[in-house]
Amino acid sequence: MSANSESQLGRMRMVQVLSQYQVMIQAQARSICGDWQLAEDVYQEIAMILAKDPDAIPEDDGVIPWLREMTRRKSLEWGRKHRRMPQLLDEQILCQVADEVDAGERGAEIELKEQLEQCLDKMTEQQQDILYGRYHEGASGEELARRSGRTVQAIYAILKRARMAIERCVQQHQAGSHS
Amino acid sequence: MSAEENDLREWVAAYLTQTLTVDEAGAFNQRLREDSAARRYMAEQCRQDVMLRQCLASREFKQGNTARLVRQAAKQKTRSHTRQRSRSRRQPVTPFYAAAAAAAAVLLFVIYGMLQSQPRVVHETQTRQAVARVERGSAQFYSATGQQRLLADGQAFQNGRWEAGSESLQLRLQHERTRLLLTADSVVDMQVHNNGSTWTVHRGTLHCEVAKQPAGAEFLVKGRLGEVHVVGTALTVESNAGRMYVHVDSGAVMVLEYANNQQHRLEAGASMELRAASEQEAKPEEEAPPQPAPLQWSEPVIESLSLIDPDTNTVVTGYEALVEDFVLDREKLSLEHYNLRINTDPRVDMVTTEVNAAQSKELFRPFSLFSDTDGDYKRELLRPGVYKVQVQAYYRNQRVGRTFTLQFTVK
Repeated sequence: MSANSESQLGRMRMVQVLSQYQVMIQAQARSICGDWQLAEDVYQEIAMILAKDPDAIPEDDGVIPWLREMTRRKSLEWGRKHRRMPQLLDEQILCQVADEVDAGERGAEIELKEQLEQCLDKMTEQQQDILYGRYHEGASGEELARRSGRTVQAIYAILKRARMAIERCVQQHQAGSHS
Repeated sequence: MSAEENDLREWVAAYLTQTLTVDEAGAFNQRLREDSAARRYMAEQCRQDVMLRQCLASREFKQGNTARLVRQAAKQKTRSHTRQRSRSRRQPVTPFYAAAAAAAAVLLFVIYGMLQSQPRVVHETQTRQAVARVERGSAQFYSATGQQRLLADGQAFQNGRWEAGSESLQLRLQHERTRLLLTADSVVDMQVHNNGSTWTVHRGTLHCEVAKQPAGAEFLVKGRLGEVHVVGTALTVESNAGRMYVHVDSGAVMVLEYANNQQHRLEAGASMELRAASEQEAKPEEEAPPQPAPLQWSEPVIESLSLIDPDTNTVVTGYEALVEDFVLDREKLSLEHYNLRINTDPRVDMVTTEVNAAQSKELFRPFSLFSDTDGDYKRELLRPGVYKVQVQAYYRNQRVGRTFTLQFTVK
């Protein structure tokens, strides 16, 4: 096989691994960093490492532990270097939480996504606006407060309530589908 | 729902929305430490959070959403202006205030003029479109007037040419979610304008995750042999003399091949290679960037091994640079566990190790013989025996320097 097709195969494998385990990597990073921006940076960093050396990606069963270890290290590193707010939870415990993040199956992911879509539809316009700004645009609490003319505390309270409402809604869906 | 369950839900939601208080954190820590079900629940919520973000990204209420927020902000502004106007009616403008305002305007004009003549290292609020921020790494930046600056983490800049150094460079376009990754030694020109942005890859590889562009705007990546029109996708463009490679990770792009003026639509997962019929047909580069001088490696690339006490993560005094056939005497050392740090040239980005034929790979600094987590060294039991160690350094996947070998005894 030529070096060119080998490099293309490596590239394809990299893309496949990144898309298959994106949720796992981001969820692990999210649990350790506690910050969306940092979690995304960790994912980008891992994508960069994989892009640099796609041949280093282990085969089959070796991929998940390899990615988990790399995500853990990178999350700790990025969290320590770039965190804007102090980490109130114990890093060791957060790493244990990250270890519990499921690698996930495609079918279950699609089902959860559908449930989340339905739950989002049930949110008030205000909650949708704030969730969109925070999760999709990466806006800070201050930015959202400035945009919507509310206080920062009010924004965080809306975010927390919306997040809990979604969780309850998903749980109801899951209980309904299992019964 | 029990009070315990309710507390856990509250704490997890607070952690994910960054509203956890110090008081809550203490009890939450305790709960997570003792309760594996709580850890599983939190892990599941983190996963749900990622999916929630994906859902929000795929929803099409962005325009309405932004419009609503803008309307709300405008209402607030109107209220505040009305208050200000009513105040200003009561306070007539004096000649002193008028003179001060005129002086401030002149000062601003002068500062603006000075900024125009400088390479545009700017604050993100200065302009909406033409700013990219360095997220990681550093780059040599050349302004249109030929001035040069080294831009590093957190600095933003406007149009010009930038050259990645020996490491990859991560960038993000301000005010949108577009992210770019420029691999080491690549050279790219950036031109952001009202109708979008144009990125010309002179050499190397540019990986882009392009946010959905506003109506009428276009994200264009040019290489020597063609150009790629993007509306919102993830792609990689590699452009070098006589060859251009395009790979689309998600979404779709339109590739215009200069050689035959043909357009090709590439969907997610597809790749395309553009080749010049001959070297002469390749579009000549307007300003050929200088080729970087090859890195000179001086021996030894792996300098030494240091004995580490993993309980304190410090080097054991007297064992900073271990020599061939050294002996670790457990009685003298009063150590139960140990690790060995591998000291290398700072450019080394990976080492492979072999200890009595057991192989391992270290990707992150500090490099160590028995692994570590960001300098927290793993505790290897000091077992009596003879150990044969081999360490090989790598730079960008290429072996560099000689294999370092060492034998030592634990007694």
